[in-house]
Amino acid sequence: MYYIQSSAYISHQDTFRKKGFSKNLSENISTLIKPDYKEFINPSLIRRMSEVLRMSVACGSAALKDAGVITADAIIAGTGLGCLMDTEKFLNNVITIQGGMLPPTSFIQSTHNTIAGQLSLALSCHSYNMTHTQNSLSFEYALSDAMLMLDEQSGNILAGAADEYIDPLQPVANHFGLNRFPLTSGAGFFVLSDKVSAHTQAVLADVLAINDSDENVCKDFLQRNQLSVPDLILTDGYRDDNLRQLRQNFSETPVIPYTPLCGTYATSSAFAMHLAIDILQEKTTHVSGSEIKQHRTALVINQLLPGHTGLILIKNHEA
Amino acid sequence: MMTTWCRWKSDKVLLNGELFFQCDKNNMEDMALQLYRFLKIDYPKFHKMDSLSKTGFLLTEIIKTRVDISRYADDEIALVFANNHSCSETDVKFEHSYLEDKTPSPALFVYTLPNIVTGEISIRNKWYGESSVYILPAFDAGFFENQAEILQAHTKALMAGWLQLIPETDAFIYFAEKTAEESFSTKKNITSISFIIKMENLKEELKKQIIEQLNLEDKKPSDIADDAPLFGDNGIGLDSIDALELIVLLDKHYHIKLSNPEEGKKVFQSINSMADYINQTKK
Amino acid sequence: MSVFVTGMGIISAIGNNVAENLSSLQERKSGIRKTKLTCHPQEIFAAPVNLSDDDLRNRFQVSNTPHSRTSLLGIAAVAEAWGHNKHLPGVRTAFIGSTSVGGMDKTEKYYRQVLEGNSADFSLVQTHDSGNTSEKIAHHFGIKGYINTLSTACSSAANALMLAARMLEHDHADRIVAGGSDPLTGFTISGFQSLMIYDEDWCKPFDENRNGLNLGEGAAYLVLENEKSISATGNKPLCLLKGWSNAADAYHQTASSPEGKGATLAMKNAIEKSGVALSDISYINAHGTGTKNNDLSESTALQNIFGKNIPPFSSTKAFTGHTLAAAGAIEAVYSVLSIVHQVLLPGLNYKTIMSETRLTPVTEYKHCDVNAVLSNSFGFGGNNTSLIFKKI
Repeated sequence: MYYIQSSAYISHQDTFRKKGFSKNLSENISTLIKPDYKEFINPSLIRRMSEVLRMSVACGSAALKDAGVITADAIIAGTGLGCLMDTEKFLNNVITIQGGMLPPTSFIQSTHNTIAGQLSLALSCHSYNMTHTQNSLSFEYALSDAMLMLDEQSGNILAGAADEYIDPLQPVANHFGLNRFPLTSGAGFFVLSDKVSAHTQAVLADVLAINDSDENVCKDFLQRNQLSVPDLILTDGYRDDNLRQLRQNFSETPVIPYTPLCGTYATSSAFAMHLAIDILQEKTTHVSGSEIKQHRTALVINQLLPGHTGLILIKNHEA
Repeated sequence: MMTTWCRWKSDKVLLNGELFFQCDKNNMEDMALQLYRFLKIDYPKFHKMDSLSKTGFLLTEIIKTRVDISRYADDEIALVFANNHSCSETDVKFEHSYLEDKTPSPALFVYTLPNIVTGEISIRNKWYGESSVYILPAFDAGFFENQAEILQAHTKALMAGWLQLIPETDAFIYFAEKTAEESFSTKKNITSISFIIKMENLKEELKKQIIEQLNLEDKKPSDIADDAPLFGDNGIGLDSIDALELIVLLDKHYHIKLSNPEEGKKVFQSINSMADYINQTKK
Repeated sequence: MSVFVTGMGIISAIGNNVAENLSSLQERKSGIRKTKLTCHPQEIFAAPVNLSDDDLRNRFQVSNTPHSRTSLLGIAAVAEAWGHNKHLPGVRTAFIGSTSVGGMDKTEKYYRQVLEGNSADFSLVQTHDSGNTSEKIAHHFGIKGYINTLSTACSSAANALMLAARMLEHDHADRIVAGGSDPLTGFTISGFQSLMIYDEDWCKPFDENRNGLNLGEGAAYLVLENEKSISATGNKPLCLLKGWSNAADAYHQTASSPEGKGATLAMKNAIEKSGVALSDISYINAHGTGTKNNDLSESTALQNIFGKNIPPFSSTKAFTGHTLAAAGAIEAVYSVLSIVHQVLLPGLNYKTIMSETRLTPVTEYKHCDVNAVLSNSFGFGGNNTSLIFKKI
């Protein structure tokens, strides 16, 4: 069993350390709602950090604290596009500064593994440190790595995902028709453990990431978990036909589209997992107007990119 | 030789190169009042003066804290001041009083001549020596040197300086005296004061550039002491990445290329060492 | 379950396949040269692959859809590694790629157009994300299902191989194609120049007067299989991947700790995992970038592990240049070659012993009994990975 001991998430909803936030979701996507980073990050580190690093280190530190864990036995991050702000900054300098010397900081901070690397620095953590980057499935791949690691050894793993918005993304998204919902940022980390604790919030039952979007993928996944229908489904909801099909296939189950809540970014399924964990801990909740009774299982279906499916099955801890 | 000098730059006053007074407000009028109180002067007329007169008046008072004026007769000290904007601040205010308020203010009118500042200082000290105010396009060490040359036959000491208030206070006054070996008109004096000012400006500029380049969000230039170690835990706490950023800073702002990071270790010890290095390299 | 290496493919500045790479190593022929690349304004010492994007497309019959050079190099390497493999029912095949900059070679062109205010060619930015690099390679060979990409800077491909081994060991797949690729880009060249660790001359790994690295480009992929897969494919195992470990230095964003903490941990845990005795390690393919910091820190870590009995070691980066994400896979191929051909591989440009650690790298290609090989890959962010390959 894989236990979710804590969950810290920063998004365009009021998600960070707000238990029960699922009752207060806003229909309109606001700006990024961020905490006072100085509470979580050493000021000497913070000055160089872009938003994605600040969000990640704050969430990583908060998740460990909330799980009552001092050190992580592994840090595993997923990111679709990595540290875009620093990448753009350095690339811009490479192109525009002719013959002059270039400031190195943005280059140093541009690599995808800066997120997990900065966490290892901030937490003085010498253990396994990994970064998965498979666009819309990056988070699911990071989670499955964490689960594999818990099969190998007992411990507490800090796993999560982060992606940040920068302005130059907008014309690209417009060109490829990925602008139905606002482009946004989000980051979150979860402490996963093979042992139950007083902090345990939910159970991570199963994860799948696959280069396939066949209908059977979902069916097979539920079957291997001895489940015919989950009590709740959270799905990207990016394409209406997908959503309609899903509601048809699972007519008894409430289906919550999460992209309209958190906006579009590669690892938004981590937002959905954070949301699912919160909902599962509530007796009842209202999401998008409909009342949802207490439920034991929630399935996150991520088909943000055509031809790709990410599935995360969460169970109520008491279930 | 120049025995004492005093400089007022934005929110700071230096006396002989050392911090004499710092104001928590960067506003000339507030600062003048704080300085007046700090000096414990009782001279009600001060409050009626315009900003140019206040500046000259206060700087002279500060010089007097270090110099024994009593050894000079009342006509042995000459006054020579200059700036690049005359008393235009007061002129504008006076114009406003008769154009907008329709009542020309006599209190302002009396300060619409730049040489009033020498008058105020003379009245306060009961000095009857030579005095003059010049308007120059920019500070010119040679000009002061020439003035000293001309005056030295008639006078024993010189209170001179640059009184610029626009866009921010950037003024200094120095006191030069004749000694057995040297007249007060040696070129060295002015050159050294302009060097000190140049270095001081350079250090101020460096601090701003460092804060920007290294994204030291929570620091102000005044938080960085000239001699504080930039690296290590006892000073500003910079690291090896910052050293590379400082190399970029030297290239970007001063066109100085350090090709070896090892060289940087000496150069980047403190603001003082950086400023010295830039000054020597740029020569 | 054991993890067998059954196939490998490589493309680098010293050859477009495994055989060419081996003969360059044997002849001590470096791929680094002083050259003016189109992606960078200055003439520099670098190790480019001698095939253009069009050459690669034609040679490997790549479809006309947008492909980054990163993908094209990867396809070249996988084509050789995959060889005659077929998709078989019951053999679950996965793909784990790695890259540090993804399609940056094309993004640079796109962004120049954007900044110059010209109408931009969006097909150039379509291949930017690192995941795209892997999908393009995997799809070229009909691999579907598990397609993942790791990106941990210069240790990326070693991590891809490690993840593949872990998945095989835990029966998450039967056959995995794993490795990495990276192209030369203005972004990375300027980046290492800005860190002042790009040698303006030949790089000199483990030499007292070393002064930085030279970048190269390339790709390497290995086919890893479990017993079940081998019995279905009939592939002949070349050697075993026996040990692996990743550890964080947690010291500095770019520099390695002087005591080599992360490197020591990675080597120690990988050796422990492999069950191979220290004395059975016959050759070490070091990370050895040629920077002052890496080579000293790595030498210290070697001393931490092996004491006075450090096995023969060298860095082959003086041949291939530092190929960033691909380096771990390129050097894995060399490690396998060392076992298959029972040889020690030389370093180049070594003259003077390092004063602090006094270690002498291998400088000649020479035959010798090789039981096991340790391969090190260390990256930015203190990401250290060690792999142990073992003779069957």
